[in-house]
Amino acid sequence: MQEMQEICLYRELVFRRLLFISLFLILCIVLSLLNLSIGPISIGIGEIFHTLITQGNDTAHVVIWDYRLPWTLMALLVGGALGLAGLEMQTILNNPLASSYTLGISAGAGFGAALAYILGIKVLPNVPMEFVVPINAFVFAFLTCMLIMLIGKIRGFTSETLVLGGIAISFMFQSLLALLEYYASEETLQAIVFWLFGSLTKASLFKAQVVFIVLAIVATLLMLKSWKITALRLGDEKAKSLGVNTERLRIEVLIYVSLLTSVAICFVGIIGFVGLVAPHMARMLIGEDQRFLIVGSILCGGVILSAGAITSKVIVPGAIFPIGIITSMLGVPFFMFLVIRGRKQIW
Amino acid sequence: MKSKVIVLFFLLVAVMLLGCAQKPVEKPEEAKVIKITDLVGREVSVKVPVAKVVLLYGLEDYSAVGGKDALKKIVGLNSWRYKKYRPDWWQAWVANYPWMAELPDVGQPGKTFEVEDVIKLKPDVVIADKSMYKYMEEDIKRLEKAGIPVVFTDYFPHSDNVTQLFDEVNKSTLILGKLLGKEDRAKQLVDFFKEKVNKVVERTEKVSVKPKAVVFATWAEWRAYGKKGMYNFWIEMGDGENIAAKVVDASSGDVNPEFVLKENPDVIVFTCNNNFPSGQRVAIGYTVDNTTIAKEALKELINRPGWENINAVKEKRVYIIHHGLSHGHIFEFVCLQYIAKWLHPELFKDLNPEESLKTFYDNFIPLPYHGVWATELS
Repeated sequence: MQEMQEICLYRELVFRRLLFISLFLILCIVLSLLNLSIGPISIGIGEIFHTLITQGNDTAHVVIWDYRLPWTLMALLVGGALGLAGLEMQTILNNPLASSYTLGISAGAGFGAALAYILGIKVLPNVPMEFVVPINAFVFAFLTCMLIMLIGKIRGFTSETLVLGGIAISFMFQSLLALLEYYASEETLQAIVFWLFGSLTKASLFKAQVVFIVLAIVATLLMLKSWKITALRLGDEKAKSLGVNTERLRIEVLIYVSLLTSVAICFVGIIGFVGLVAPHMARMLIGEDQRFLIVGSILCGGVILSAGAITSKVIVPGAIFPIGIITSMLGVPFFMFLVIRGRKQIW
Repeated sequence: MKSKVIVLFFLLVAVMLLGCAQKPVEKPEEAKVIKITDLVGREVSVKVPVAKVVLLYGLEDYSAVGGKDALKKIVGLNSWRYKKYRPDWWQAWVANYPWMAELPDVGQPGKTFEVEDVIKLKPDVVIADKSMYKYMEEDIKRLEKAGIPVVFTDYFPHSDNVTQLFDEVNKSTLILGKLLGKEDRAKQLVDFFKEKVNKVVERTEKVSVKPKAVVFATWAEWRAYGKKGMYNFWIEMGDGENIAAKVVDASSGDVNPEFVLKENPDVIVFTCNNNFPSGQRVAIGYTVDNTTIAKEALKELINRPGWENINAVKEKRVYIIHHGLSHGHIFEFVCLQYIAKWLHPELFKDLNPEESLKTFYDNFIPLPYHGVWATELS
């Protein structure tokens, strides 16, 4: 009898989790369709679908294929990538405040971008102009991750070491960035500030594909490890007693997350808050089980950034409002609501 | 031997004669204390003509009024700003007046400005731009305590109102004239400015159709000049319609790429500094010898999806202009002339903005004219 009840309870739990995931999925689709249909040039839903399945050179095709589709996909994918990266950072560091910000990865990326903008330094030679800044940002974001890794290697992969190391690195890159900004000319300063706010206007289908591939691979790899990662949330001691090599797992996940974050922010600049909030929202609604939480965080991130992308277009139709500002302004009230009204313990 | 002595003798006589001839001209002007109301609206007492100047802004306008002599009065300069913001102009000044590189750099207000450096130099006056005032309020008090007056000029356009612009340029230039004891030349300069601007605004009164235009920055892909941007004022004065002003209230902001396709502008202008777009190459400016790089840059800048169908691109009415020409100095009239000519090529067939700039340099700036300041897609 007891057993039956427990099975029922478990089924209910799984059902609840699947329900929220479907809800997120539906929201993602609806928001993406909205993203595709909103813009200064009015194109009907029917025409949008027609344009998506045909080829042509008319205005509708250019608008949909060259501007709206990359924009929409990039919002969805980068949001998803940031959501997943945030989730795993919070998990392996056992810290609810962890995100690409806390670990200094964003600051590293910003510094890399600023090097390209302000000093014209290229990390890789012979890169097409369009990719100089993304590649710089990627390399520095990834280097930051490796630096954190190094700190971990020396002092052991405890969450305290990684968080404190991350904060130190973050401050280092922020002051280096400030130094570069201090000496920048008016124009380059505008360019770098623009990058630091985050923007989807530089989206392209190619970039969306890159983010998609990395996100798909990392998500699959993490899914394969989902039991172990879930165990990590019980605490290091318990995880070890369950046979999980916690240090190895942390290193492995950190590498995946580094790759994911670096790719996500290098194309669009620093978009704050998604990586912090999306995992919390997903966790509150779905629970700790990584099998569901991974999917949930990706979808939740996609929802937040897609909503932000739409807002940045409609605040002043015809103009683009910096998306980094919007995600924070949009995310905070909702997040606060969940924190205050949520019945469950958050962390 | 004999001939050498004769030559020497004549030389000596010539030198003495020259000396005599110069003496009466050099009669020292009587120093007097005058009250000046500057462009921030402050009333400042300055002993004129000044002998020692610390210049925080506007070497161009300063030397246009004071000529070569005024350059020698500079004891401290905000060379930081020149090196960062207008590297080509700085190179020009230093190439022609190498001693300028040795002048103490007092720094940029709000960034590297050092009030103590200024006090140490004991100038008769500090000349700055109105935009620097907000960073200098505390420093002004310190300087005043040390008996050093600070005077603000302002050459930035603040609206499309020509009268207001004239008033501002007139005031700023006459202040420089009074400080340097060159009031006649200041008046001459103001008349020159008015004539060049009037050449445009008088004619555009007859315009019936306003062509659509947009001005993009070269440093952020979709950054356009909006309602409060100087380019908006030039376009308005040149009787065009700035499409970005409809959606960008600030001086500049990002437009939706689609919006540009929808509005289909007739003229597209890119504003570019000497360090295009961020240090990667030098396409435009005083130091540039020909238009090749600028034209290449333009080709890359218009390489955006759907732009091949935009009127401006189809008719090759796409231009690039030096950012420094567009605001903050008396030769900004050249920018207005360019914009007006690009908006109404037929109406301004006989207008040659480059020639205007050259005339200005030849008559007022103690530098030889040089460089590429604007060009078109070809």
